[in-house]
Amino acid sequence: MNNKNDRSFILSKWIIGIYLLVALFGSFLAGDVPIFCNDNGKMSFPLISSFFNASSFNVKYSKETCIMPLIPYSPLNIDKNDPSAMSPFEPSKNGTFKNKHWLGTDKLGRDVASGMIHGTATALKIGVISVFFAFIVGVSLGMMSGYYKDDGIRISAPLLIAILMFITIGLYYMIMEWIIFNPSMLYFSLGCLVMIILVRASTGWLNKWEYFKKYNVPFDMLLLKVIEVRKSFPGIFILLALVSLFAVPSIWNIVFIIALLGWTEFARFARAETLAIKEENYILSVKVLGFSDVRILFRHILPNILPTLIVIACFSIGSAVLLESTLSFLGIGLPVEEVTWGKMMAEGRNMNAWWLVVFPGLAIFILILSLNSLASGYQKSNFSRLF
Amino acid sequence: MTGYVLKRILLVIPTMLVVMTIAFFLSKLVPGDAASAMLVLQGIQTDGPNAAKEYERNYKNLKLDKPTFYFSILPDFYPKNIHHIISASRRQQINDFLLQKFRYTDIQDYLSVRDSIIYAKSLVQKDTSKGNHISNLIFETQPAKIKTTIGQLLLYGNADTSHKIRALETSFDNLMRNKSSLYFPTLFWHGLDNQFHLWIKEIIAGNFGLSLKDGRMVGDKLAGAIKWTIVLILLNVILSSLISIPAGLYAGYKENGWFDKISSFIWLLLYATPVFWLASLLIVFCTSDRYGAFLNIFPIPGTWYIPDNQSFFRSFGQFSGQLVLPVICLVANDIALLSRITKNNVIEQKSKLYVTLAKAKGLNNGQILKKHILPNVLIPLITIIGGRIPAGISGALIIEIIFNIPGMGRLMYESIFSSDWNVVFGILLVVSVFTIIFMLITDIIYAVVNPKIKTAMS
Repeated sequence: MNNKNDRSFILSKWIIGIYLLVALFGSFLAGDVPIFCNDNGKMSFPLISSFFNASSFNVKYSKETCIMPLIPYSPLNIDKNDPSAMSPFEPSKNGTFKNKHWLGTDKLGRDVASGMIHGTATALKIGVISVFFAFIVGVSLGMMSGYYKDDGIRISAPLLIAILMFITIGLYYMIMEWIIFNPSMLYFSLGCLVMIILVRASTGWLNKWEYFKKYNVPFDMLLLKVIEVRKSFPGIFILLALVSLFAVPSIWNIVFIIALLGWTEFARFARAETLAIKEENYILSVKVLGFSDVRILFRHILPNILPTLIVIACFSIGSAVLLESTLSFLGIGLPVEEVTWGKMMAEGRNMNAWWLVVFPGLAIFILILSLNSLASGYQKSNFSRLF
Repeated sequence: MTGYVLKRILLVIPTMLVVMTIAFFLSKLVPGDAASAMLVLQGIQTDGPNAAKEYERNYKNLKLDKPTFYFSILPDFYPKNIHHIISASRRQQINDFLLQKFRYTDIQDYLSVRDSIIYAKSLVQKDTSKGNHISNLIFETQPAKIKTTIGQLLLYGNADTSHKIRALETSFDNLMRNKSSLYFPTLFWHGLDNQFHLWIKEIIAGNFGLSLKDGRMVGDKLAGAIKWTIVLILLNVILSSLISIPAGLYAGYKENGWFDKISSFIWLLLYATPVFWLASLLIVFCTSDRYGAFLNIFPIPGTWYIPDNQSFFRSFGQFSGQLVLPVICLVANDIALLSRITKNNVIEQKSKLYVTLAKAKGLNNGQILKKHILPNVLIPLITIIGGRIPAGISGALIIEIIFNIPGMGRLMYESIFSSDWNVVFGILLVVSVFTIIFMLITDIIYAVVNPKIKTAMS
């Protein structure tokens, strides 16, 4: 590990840490709910209690007896004292140094700095969660396809019929009963669980039956076909088409779509890495020891391909953040009340307001730059460890 | 060699079919009703006297009354083809009933009895309060509310109408009694006369249908837009290759030299720059003299007005000034990746044995680079540049939107906002097919050029 001397690697780690802190504790940095109030000896923490009790937002606080967040503006509230679209260098009418709009105000007179802080949470939420799901799906499928290839999974005809039956009928009732008739995620996941248990049970039971001839399942070929189909849809076009299907815009749609489009990248790399590592002697020896496939995959292969996958995950988070800001820049798919960097930039471009273009863009730029250099730092350390 | 090419082309066909199927089903999932959009387009008022007739004509013209796919697997209480019901509100209502698992035949019974009463209302009944009650049923699909309304009608009804309302109550009770909580999936076979089959036939013939926004052929709109996208991509690929390949070659040739260090740093920054940020910055700072006259370098991205019969070269000449800034943004986004790959390839090739042999032969560095390293570096670059072209369409989308260039991306963006789904999915399909064909061509060229693959195949 030569990371300790790599200055850009350490710097980018710190920067990403700061971004994460800002995303997590954004309400303590910017917002119009005070952190701590001392009203004639009666102490209270309005911000913390507002997390648990949404109605306390409406309570009025006298600012003199309270400690406000660093930037005492919520990203959605319009400051009526100052003009809208105020550049950061214009003097504020709010008087005190504390109430200054450090990065100016936007078209409606909302504070830009506060919007930047709350936009961090949106961007990172979408980036991290979508990559998390894409990682789980992509890596497990990719590892399976690299490990089993086209001839690793052998099943007999009755088992094939049983599995197909369970999967088709299970999927059918799942879609009909839990998505169309009675939309509920709980029932959907319950159905998934029942289906997995049934398929697993039938696999264990029917595969022991040596009477029937066994056939290969071309798992690898199927996965490669799926990846090819995914590759034939150009990124942003299919993203826009999918996003426009949803009548009600929400963050979770975008997380779901980015994960749906992104998992193939993880599958590709996990497959390639597993293929390379599969023939190494230590894997062959644990196979001889008679360990189960699941144990070999998760205890022996996964830890060894993880460093490469982390590099891919860093790049993927960067591109997911970029996709989110592109979408919000275009004004598609994100709800109106959500504060995002892309939205501010689009506004700044339309109004020719430099502060609305420079600062949000700089935030995206620095985040992506540090994610990239984090990834290449990891890449270098993997490289030096292997050779 | 021909065997490889043929095999590769044949493998493309199933992928193409899957892509088409996905695009078709996505286009079926969109909100809104194409037939009523056509009605609006034709200038027919939706509450006018002939609206229902015109709706039916459009509905059948668009083949929306056909089943969606070759087969359908539906619960056994469903009708074979729900699209057969032409009236949109009726279809919606039956669908609402079906979602509560009522049997289709019972729903039909109930609706026909209900309609006969509503129709008779104007003839028999003059009482407004009862009229109010019965009209409550027109859009009502919730059983509890229907039950209360029927109860009220029975309570306040007079002798003339009560037998009809009793019939309604019977049919409603029947509906409730036969509600199925358990069901079996039933397979319906629809044959070739379905929407998907007819759609694929039209697409293969090159007919994408009509734009729901202005009634023009989608194909014509696409043909007008695709030219500008191709111009952007070609300019981008040519310029970025011209800049990045020599830069990458030199940086790799003199590894860790001053040029390598500076250029690597610049590429690192450019690679992380979002293309729309760069574009916005350039527009805000470099198209006006607001921040100093010396910054007013580029023309402001204006609106593009192109007369219908104007030749492409003429309009290109007219708007070439407008293309400078977009091309700069696209190239800046691309050179970072290309030159880094070139540099890495050069460094990799430099450590190969044939370079050592060439050195031992007494060639100087320039000769080694030109005659031995360059061919080996350029061949993999074919795949990368070929792969950049489909990716370039995606990159061009946002640039087209920012700079008002009337290309594919801008058309797609505008069509999404005006719910012009024929255009949206037409573009998606064209772009995907273009991508598939490009991947195919790149693969074939790579196989032809690369001697290693050539020998492996023969």
